[in-house]
Amino acid sequence: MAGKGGSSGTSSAVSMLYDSGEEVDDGRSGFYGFMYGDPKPGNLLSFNIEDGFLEAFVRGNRTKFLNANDYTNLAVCDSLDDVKMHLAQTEYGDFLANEPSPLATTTIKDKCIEKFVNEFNYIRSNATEPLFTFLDYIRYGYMIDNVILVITGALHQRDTAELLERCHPLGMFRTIGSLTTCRSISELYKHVLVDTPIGPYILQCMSEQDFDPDEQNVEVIRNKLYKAYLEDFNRFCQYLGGATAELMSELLNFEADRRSITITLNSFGTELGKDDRATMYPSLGLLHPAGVIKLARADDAEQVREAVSHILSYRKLFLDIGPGTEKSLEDAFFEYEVELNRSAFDTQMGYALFYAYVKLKEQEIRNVVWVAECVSQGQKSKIHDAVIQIF
Amino acid sequence: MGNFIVTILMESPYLWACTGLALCIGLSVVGSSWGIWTIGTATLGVSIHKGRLETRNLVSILFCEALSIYGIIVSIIMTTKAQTQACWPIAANDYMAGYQMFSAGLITGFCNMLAGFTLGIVGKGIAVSTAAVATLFVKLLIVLIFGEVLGLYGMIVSLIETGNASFTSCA
Repeated sequence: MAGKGGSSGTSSAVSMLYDSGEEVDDGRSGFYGFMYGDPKPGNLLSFNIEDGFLEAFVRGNRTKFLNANDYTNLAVCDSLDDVKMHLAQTEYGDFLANEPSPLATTTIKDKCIEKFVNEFNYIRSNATEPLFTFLDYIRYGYMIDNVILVITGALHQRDTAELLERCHPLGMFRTIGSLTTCRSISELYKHVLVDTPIGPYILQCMSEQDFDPDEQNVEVIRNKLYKAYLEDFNRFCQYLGGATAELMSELLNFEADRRSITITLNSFGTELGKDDRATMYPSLGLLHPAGVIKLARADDAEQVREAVSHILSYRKLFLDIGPGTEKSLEDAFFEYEVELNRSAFDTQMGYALFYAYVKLKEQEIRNVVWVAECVSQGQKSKIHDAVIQIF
Repeated sequence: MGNFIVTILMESPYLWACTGLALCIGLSVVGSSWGIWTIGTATLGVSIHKGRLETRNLVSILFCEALSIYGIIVSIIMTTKAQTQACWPIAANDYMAGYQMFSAGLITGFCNMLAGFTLGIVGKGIAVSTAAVATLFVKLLIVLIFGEVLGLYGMIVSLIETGNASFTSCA
């Protein structure tokens, strides 16, 4: 199975074996943590020994995010070349310098992602255990998306190079090429199981008979894989303990709840049965288990709103998107996510910072792409609808 | 077992004195180095972005260094006292001198060690937060000064105590 550090317990997705119980002080988080095969992140005194440099590096990136001034400047651009010029004056610099003149928004998006992935790879190349495994866990989410993309493409006989180009660079792994050569469903299943780092997730959620990636079912497969991934990530964070466990459980709970609500809302009007829907809800989050039971029985948006209303923050989100405003639930979720991640970004001595950094950078890329789209379509008044200020 | 310990410990004040000397410089350096590695890794991390500006965090490391200087001052004074000739039978005054040297060393050692931990955590926070908001730096240095003073208190008490300690010379 494609993983690393096989003998110890922290290797990739095999960490389903962790027991997420009480916090035990077994010395793995202290000064001599390196003597164990799988150490934990340090506490207040000893965190800097292993991960201090990277934490300071990431937190020094705070001023590199685009601020309100930059967004105001971008909002008055007339064309994508103006956007390029304004971005060149921020920390983005000359990242678009080598692109031919009629710019497309997809180019801007690809270049932003490339820049972000370079930074992430810098962090990853300097990381030691257990931070390295933690960063890999962040990447598994993108890997799931890539694998689904490649599977659907392979079944429709798409061109390999084109498929791999459309994959997210953060979720690339060495053996993804072998997936494109499969031609039958059972071959695909075996390859995903054996060749990809997310093999254990597919083992957990479905057998070969259930694996049926045609148009409707591919989303079901994606959601089930993501459910297994979130639960595994949560278990790993609980194992790491300390500040990491505390903050990551907050962030992952929101992610799980968001997915539960979105799955429910998207399933209205499709043929997805309620039982099938219930198997896709992750078993973590503030809505688990009480709210999830109500969500599983919901028939329309009003019942969904009722199901989540016992959690104050989600009730506020639904209030914000009343019929008067133009904001959609997705926008409200993005805003709340930025708020959570922003407060996680300022914490010390924990790994939630790295996760928050990835999410905030994603949001910034979404912002820049939205601005570019609005500018290129001449609808500059809509820019401030969806741009969420990060810092 | 208890008899054994009592025998060893009651045997000689010179053991107490030299243990104090070792703890003095040892624990001071533990604290100082702990502070330096905590601040140093953070300084390296933020210096990647703004190189010359962020190397002002070396001032924090200077504060940590001062702690080990306190330790070595007290140690050197203690070594001059510990250059005594050992005699038998041990004079009564020597027992007191031994205990005084031990306590002086322990005081300085622990004060500097814990001050070092403090300076490390605070200095790291300063390095990272001033990377985001530049105007905070000078004001946050005051926290470092207060941390530094904790080590100074230990040194003052130890110096007074070693001043009192004196081994009687052999007849």
